[in-house]
Amino acid sequence: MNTDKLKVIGTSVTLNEKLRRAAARDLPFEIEFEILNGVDCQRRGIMSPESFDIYDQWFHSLDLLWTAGSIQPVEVAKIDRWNHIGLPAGSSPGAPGHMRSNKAHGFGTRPTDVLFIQDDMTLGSATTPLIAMLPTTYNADSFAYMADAAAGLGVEMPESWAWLLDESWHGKCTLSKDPASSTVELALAARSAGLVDIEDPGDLSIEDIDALFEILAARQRTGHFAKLWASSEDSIRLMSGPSCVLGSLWSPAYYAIRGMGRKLTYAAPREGYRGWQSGLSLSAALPAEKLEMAYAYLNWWLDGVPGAIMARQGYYMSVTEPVRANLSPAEWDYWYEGLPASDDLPGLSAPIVVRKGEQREGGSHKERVERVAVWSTIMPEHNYLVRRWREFLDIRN
Amino acid sequence: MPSKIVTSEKNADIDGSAPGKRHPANAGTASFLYRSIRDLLAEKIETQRFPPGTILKEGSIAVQLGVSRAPVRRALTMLYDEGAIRAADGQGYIVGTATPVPMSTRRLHEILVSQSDDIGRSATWERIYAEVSNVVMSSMPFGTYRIQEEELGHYHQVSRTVAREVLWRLMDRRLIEKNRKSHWIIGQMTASDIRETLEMRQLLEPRALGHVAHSLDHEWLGQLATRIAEAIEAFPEGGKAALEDIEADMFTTMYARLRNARMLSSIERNQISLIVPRLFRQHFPIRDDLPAMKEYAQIVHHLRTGSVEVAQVLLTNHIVRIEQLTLARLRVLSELSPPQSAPYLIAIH
Repeated sequence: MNTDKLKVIGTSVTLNEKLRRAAARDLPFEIEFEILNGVDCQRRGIMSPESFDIYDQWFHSLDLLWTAGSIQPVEVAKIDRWNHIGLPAGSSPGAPGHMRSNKAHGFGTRPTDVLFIQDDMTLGSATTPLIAMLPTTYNADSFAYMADAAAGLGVEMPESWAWLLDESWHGKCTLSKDPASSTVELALAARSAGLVDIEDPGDLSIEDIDALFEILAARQRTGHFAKLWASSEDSIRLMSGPSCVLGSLWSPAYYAIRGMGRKLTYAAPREGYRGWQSGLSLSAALPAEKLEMAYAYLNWWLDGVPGAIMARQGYYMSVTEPVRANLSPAEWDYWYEGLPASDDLPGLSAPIVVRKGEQREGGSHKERVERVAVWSTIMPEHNYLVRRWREFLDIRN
Repeated sequence: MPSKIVTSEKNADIDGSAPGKRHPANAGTASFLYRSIRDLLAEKIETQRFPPGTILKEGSIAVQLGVSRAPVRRALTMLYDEGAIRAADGQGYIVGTATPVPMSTRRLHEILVSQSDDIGRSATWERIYAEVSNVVMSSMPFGTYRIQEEELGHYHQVSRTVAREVLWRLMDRRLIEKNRKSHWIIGQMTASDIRETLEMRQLLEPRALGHVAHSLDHEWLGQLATRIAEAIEAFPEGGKAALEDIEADMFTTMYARLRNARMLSSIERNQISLIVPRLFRQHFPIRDDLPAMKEYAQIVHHLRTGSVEVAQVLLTNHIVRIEQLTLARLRVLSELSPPQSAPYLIAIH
């Protein structure tokens, strides 16, 4: 592999055009970005560590990458702003304050659950000098819908994940193709709709999975779900077109569609959000002579410029102070504080994605993250789940 | 590749006296062979086709049955342990307590071969068992499959009766099941299967180790200790093959002389957790296997020095510890596509 060029793989939402230009401008070496959809990126990370230097993806996928031996430890001593990192749910490294109990049950994969490399080479929350992934951006996700359509369909408030399975939206509903996020959402949906008795949406038993997929397969066969999306771009095409009026959606897609002038509402479901955390890992195949470049890239991500770019599509950052310095007060107030926009605000894809006076659904950064019900996760029965999921996807293919 | 496994396994059996190198998937086959022979001989003794006083010799029985001497030796040892035969000084064994009566080769042939097709049939199912069992185990993490009995027979050019015999044996080991429609089903291996079988292994294997500890061959233990030490020394360069040979010895050969047949078959039925690392290592590095190798080294060390209880505790700890890693590896297998399926398998999901 070329030793003077850093190769980064990730999805289009973190490795977006603005970020790539900023990296080219700020860093003294060449970086090659390879954009993949979420599922493919995770697969590449697991199966082909020799094909990249840096893996920019979801924290929950660490369970698979670390076990597969595809990544090497990140030394926290080489991260300049390590002591300023704050993780969602008040679970900053080393800080005891979790939002609920400390038991890793009922939450899916919280970022701190898999952050540190333990002495026995497993991943855990006890502080050590080595981490599996540098935490960068995160968010509280839900779904978006056309408010006019909802009113027309007579859907009852409050917003609920159960809407994903509600017959009212038949044929007009979309989901992500990533099972680690979608099954959590669908488990919340099915439980809320009273269709299944699921104890923990972040840890489905075989019986839960079978019951859930019976419901999903029936809906898939009758065409309840329109197409499913693999990338943010796919979801933008689907949700901005006539075919879908309700769908699980990432916030960059939501704000991109808003930037097109479409009226779309992002839900704050009564059951709570699905949380996720992203970060950067070093390939197991990263040669020692490229380590310096790799750490320079990791440190740059916490410098404020990437964080401001992430903020303009609705994402939070693990180190906030430099982000604040790179946003206007109006931007900070809207994106992080949940206050009404004091001005029209720019997005990444359009000059205005938020109109003056608008307020972010769910409130401030703190309020939204506190309302995370479950984090995206690789469940204990992941292998069984994934094979049922692929079967579900194949029903309409 | 599957036929190669059968060959090497046969060879192992022919060459090998009791403990030797053996693939875990094949171990069941070897043990089945000696058990079949034991059952056959026991039946002949019981029905008095071998009347009291009959002299039974390892070599001539092996020749008549067309098998190697090792399984016959083991079958005879079992019958001896059961009290059905007694040792004749350097002359094999004698049935019952009566005065020794030599048996002509022709008579032996009549009794063992002409009057019985048991071992012939067993030898046929035996021939394909290892291959089918390997296909079944390699499919388990990838979904639920149905095995077509008739197609299985066609594929291996054996009768449906033989195919069915193989399937019954697989069901006996809990590798497959029959569903309500009486179809043979390979159920998908789940995390809860792994947890449950590991819990059973925790109960069974340390106990079994206690039973066999004093009958283990010291030379064999010494060789095993050396191989483990070499694998640790070379780790990870020694590769997965050395590691898998060691695991076959630790978890199969180790218990081969267990007299409690129920316990032995329970152990075999509960060892599906061993399938996961085998498949994992075909694609991913063995980095996380070093702690296990060190644990094996300690267990063998204590067996050699007679501290059996310590070895049992270490084995328990090993089985407890391995759960998390095995489950994590099973999750990683989710990224692998199902292996190319044998023509007698139909994917259900």
